[in-house]
Amino acid sequence: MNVLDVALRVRGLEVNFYTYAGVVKALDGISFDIYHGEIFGLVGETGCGKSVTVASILRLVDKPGRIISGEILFDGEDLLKKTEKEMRKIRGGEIAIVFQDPMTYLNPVLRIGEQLTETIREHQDLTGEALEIDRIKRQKFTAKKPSKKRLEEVALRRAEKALGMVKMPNPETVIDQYPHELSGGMRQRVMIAMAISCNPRLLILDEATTFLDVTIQRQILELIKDLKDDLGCTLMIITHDMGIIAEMCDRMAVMYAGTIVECADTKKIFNTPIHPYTIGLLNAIPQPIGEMKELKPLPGTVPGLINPPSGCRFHPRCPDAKEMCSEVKPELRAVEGRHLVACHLYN
Amino acid sequence: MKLWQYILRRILLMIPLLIGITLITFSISHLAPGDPARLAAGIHAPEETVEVLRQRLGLDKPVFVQYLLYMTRLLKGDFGTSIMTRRPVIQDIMVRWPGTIELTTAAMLIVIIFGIPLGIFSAANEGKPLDHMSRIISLLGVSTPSFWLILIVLLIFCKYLGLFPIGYRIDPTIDLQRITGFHIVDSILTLNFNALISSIRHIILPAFVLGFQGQATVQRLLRSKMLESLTHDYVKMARAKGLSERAVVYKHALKNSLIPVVTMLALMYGGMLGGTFIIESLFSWQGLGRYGSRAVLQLDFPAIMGVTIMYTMIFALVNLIVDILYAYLDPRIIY
Amino acid sequence: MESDSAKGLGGIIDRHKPFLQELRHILYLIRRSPLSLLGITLFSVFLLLATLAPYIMPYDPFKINLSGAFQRPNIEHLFGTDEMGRDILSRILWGCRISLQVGVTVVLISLCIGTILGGIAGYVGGAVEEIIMRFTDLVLAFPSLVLAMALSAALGPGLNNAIFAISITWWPWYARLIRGQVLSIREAGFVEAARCVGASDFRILFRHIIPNSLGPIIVNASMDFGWAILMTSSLGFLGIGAQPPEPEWGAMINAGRLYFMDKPWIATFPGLAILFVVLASNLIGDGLGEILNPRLRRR
Repeated sequence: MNVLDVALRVRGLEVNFYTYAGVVKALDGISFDIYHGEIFGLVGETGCGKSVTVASILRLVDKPGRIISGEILFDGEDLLKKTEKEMRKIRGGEIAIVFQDPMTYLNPVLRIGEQLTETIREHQDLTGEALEIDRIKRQKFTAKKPSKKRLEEVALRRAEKALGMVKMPNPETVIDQYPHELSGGMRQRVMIAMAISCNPRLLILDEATTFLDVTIQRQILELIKDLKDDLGCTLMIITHDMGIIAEMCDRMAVMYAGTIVECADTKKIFNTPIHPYTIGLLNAIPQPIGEMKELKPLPGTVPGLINPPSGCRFHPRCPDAKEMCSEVKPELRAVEGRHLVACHLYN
Repeated sequence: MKLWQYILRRILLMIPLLIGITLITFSISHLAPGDPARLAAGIHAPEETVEVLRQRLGLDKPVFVQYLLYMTRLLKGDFGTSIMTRRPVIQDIMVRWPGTIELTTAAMLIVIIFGIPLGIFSAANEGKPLDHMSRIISLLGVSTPSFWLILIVLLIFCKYLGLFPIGYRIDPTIDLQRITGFHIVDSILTLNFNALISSIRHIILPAFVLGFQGQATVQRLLRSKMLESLTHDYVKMARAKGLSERAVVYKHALKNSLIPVVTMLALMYGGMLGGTFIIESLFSWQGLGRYGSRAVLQLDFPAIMGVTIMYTMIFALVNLIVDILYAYLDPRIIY
Repeated sequence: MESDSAKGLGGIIDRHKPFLQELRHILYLIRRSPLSLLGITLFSVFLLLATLAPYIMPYDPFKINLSGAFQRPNIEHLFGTDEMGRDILSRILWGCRISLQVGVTVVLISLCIGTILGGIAGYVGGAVEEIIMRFTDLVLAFPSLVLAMALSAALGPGLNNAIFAISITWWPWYARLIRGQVLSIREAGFVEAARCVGASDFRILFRHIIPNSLGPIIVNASMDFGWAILMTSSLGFLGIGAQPPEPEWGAMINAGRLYFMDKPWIATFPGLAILFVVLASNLIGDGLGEILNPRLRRR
C-alpha cells in the first residue's frame, strides 16, 4: 500500500445551484488530494459545501445544481467524463457512502436483507459461488447458469457476512427486520454494512455519526477504523466536529463557504494552523484543561453564496485582511512541504 | 403485534361499527316526515287499519324500544316492505345485488388497469409532453360529472357508432341459467358463450364510465406520491448504491407510493357505490342503484333504508379488506 | 437593544418580514405555475358571471314560452331553449350563482363543523377525543353519496336540504384533517413552549395552531369546492336536490336527458358548465398543493 499514490484527485471543482433567488455558487473551484489508504477529513461549518462535494464525486448533484467545471480523478480516471452507466458501476461498488440519518436513508417498507442484497447483486459476481452450491447440492455438474434462488441465497450469505463485519448482533434475525425495528446505532451499522458489502476502494462518511449518541459514536468510529484496516480501502470523513477529525484523520482539509482554505496533515493543522479561519475555528473550541479563558467565537456570520464576498470569501471576517483580499481570490498553495493554504498573507 | 392479530382486532371492531351504522340509519328514517303507518297502509285505508298497523309496527312505543325492535327485525333480515314494489325489501335486494357488485368490480378493474400504470408512467416521464397530456386527461376525468359523460358516451358510441348496446345487463333474448346471479360468472359456469359475450359487451360502457373518474383520481394521486417519493433520502441512497433507474423507481419509490393509493381505492369504491345510482338508471342496469334511485324519487323509505344499509355493509367490508392489505404493505402500521 | 426601526410602521413590517417574504415567494410560484393561473382565471370568469348574471342575462330564466320550446342554438338564443321554452344561456348564468353559492356554503359548513370538532378532539385529547373520532369514523363508514341521498330523501327534496345533507357527509374529513394538524403541532413542541411563557389556550390556538394548519386546509377546501358542486348536481340529477324550475345545472341535465338523442343541447351546456367550474377548482387545488408542499417545489 503505497501511501504516496493518489486515490482521489479533485481539481477546480465548480458547482452552481440555479434557484429562483439567484445563482448559488456553492463550490468555487475546490481542489484536494486523497492518498491511498489514508483517512482524509473534510471539515467545515454547515452549509460550507461539504455534502455538495460528496454529491459531485458520485455525480449525484440534484437539480437545480450543476457541475460547471473541474476534474475528479479516481485512480487516474476522470469521473466527470464517464457515462452514466459507468458511474452506476462505481457508485456502491468502487465508491460507497454512509450518510447521516439512517432512518431516512433506509427504505421503510423494505426489509434490511433486501436492501443489502440489492447492492450485492448489483456489483458482485455471484455466479461462481452460486454454481458451486448448485453443483454440490443438486449435483448439476454441468450447469452453466445458476438459478435465481441460488443467487439470492449467495447474496444473503454475503449480506449476513457484512452485518457480521459491522459487529451486528444476530445478523440472521436482522436480515428479516424492517428499519423501524432497529435502534439508531444498529441502523447506522446497517448503512455501514451496505457500504462495505462490495469492497469499495473509497469509503465516504458524510456526517455519519452526527445523529448518534456520543457513546455509540465512539463505537462506530472504532468500528470504521478496524474496517478500514481489514478492507484496505481509503476513507474520507466529512464532518463539522473537530474532535472526530483530530481522532481519526491522517490528513484534513478545512472548507469555508465553498472554498478550501487549508489542507495538511491533521497534526500540523492542530498544532500550527495557518489560515485565519482555521485559527479562529480552533480558538472557538472550549478547552477542558489548562487555564480558564473566554471563549472566542468568530465574529460575523457565514456569507450567503448568491453574492459571495469578492476575492477571498473570508475577508469580511478576517482580522488580518489586506486590500488585496477583497479583490483577488487566493489560490491554494504549499507553504511548507504538504501544508497548503489559500491566503494572501502567505503567498 | 403480528399480522393475524391485527386482522382479528379489525374484524372484532366491525361489530360496534355495524351497531353504530344501524343507529344512524334508524335516526335518518325517523327524520322522514309523514306518518310511516299511514304510508304503509295506503292513502285510502281507514283509520282503524292505520292504528292497527301502527301498533303492529311498534310506532306508538318510545324511541329506544323502537330502535330495539328495528335491530331485531334487521337481524332477522326483515327490512320492511317496499312501497313501490309491494314486496319485502330484502327480496328486492337479493335479486338485484349481484348486478351492482358485478358492475362495481368491473369498474374497479378499470381503475386499477388504467389508473396505476398511467400514474407510474406519468411520474417517470415528468415534464415530458406525454406526462402533460395524461395530466390534462386525468384532470378532465376528475372534473367531469359522470351523468353528463354517460349521455355523451351513449350518444357517440351507441347511436352514432353503434358499437355497444344501450341498456340492460345482457341481451334479453338470450337464455341464461341463474346460479350466482353474476351474469359473467354464470355464463362461464354454464359454458354459455353467447351469454358471456353479450354480458361483456353490456358491461364495458357502464363499467368504464363508472371507473373513469376513479381511474383519473388514482392516476393523479399515484403521480403525485411517486414524484414526492423520488425526493426522499432513501431514493438518494438507492442511487448512491448504483442501482438502475428502473430499480429506483419501481422498487423503492413505487412501493412507498402505492400505500396511500391503496387507501384511496377503498374510498373510491364508496364513491362508485354512490355512482351506481346514476349509472344504473341511465343504462337500465338491473341492480341496487336503479332500485335505490327510484326509491328515492318515490320516497319509499323502507327501500331507501334497505339500500343504504346494504351499501354501507359492502363498503365496510371493502374497507376491512383494504385495511388488511395496507397492514401487509406497510409494516410500520402494526406497531 | 431596541432600535428605532422596531417601532412604528417600519417596525411592523420588520417584525413580519419572514411572513411577507414567504408570501412573496408564494405569489412568485403562483405566477410561474400555469396550472394555478389557468385555474384562477377560469374561476374568476365564473365568479364574474355569477355576480353579473342578473344584469347580463338576455332573458328571464324562469319565463316559460311553450311555443318557442326546443329551439336549436341560434342568434336569439345562443344556447337554444329547453323543453319549456326557457332560454338556456340565461338559465346557465343563473345556475352559476346557485352553484357557486352551493360550493362555498357546503365547504364553509363542513369546515366549521369539522374544525370545531377536530380541534377540540386534537387539543383536549383523552376520552373526548376518542368519542369524537369514533363518531367521525362512523359517519365515514357510509359512502358519501349514499348517505347524502338518504338524508336528502328524509329531509325532503329541495336545494337547501341537499346542501345540508352534503355538508353532513363531508365534515368528517375536515375533522380528521384538523385533528391531525393539531396533534402534530402539539408534538412539535411550540405549544409547550408557548405555555411555558404563559400563553393562554386561546392565544395558542390562534397564533400557533391555526396559521400552521392553513396549508392543507386551503388545498382541500379548494378541491372540495368543485366536489361539492359535483355532489349537488348529482343529487339534482337524481331528482332530490334542486327541484325544477330552479336552473341548477344537475337538474337541468336531468330534464334534458329525455330528449338527449335528438336535442342534445339542453343537457350539454349545463354539463360543460359543471365541467369547467370543477376543473377550475381542481386546477387551483393542484397548483396550491404543489406550491405548499415543499417537496414538490423545484426552484
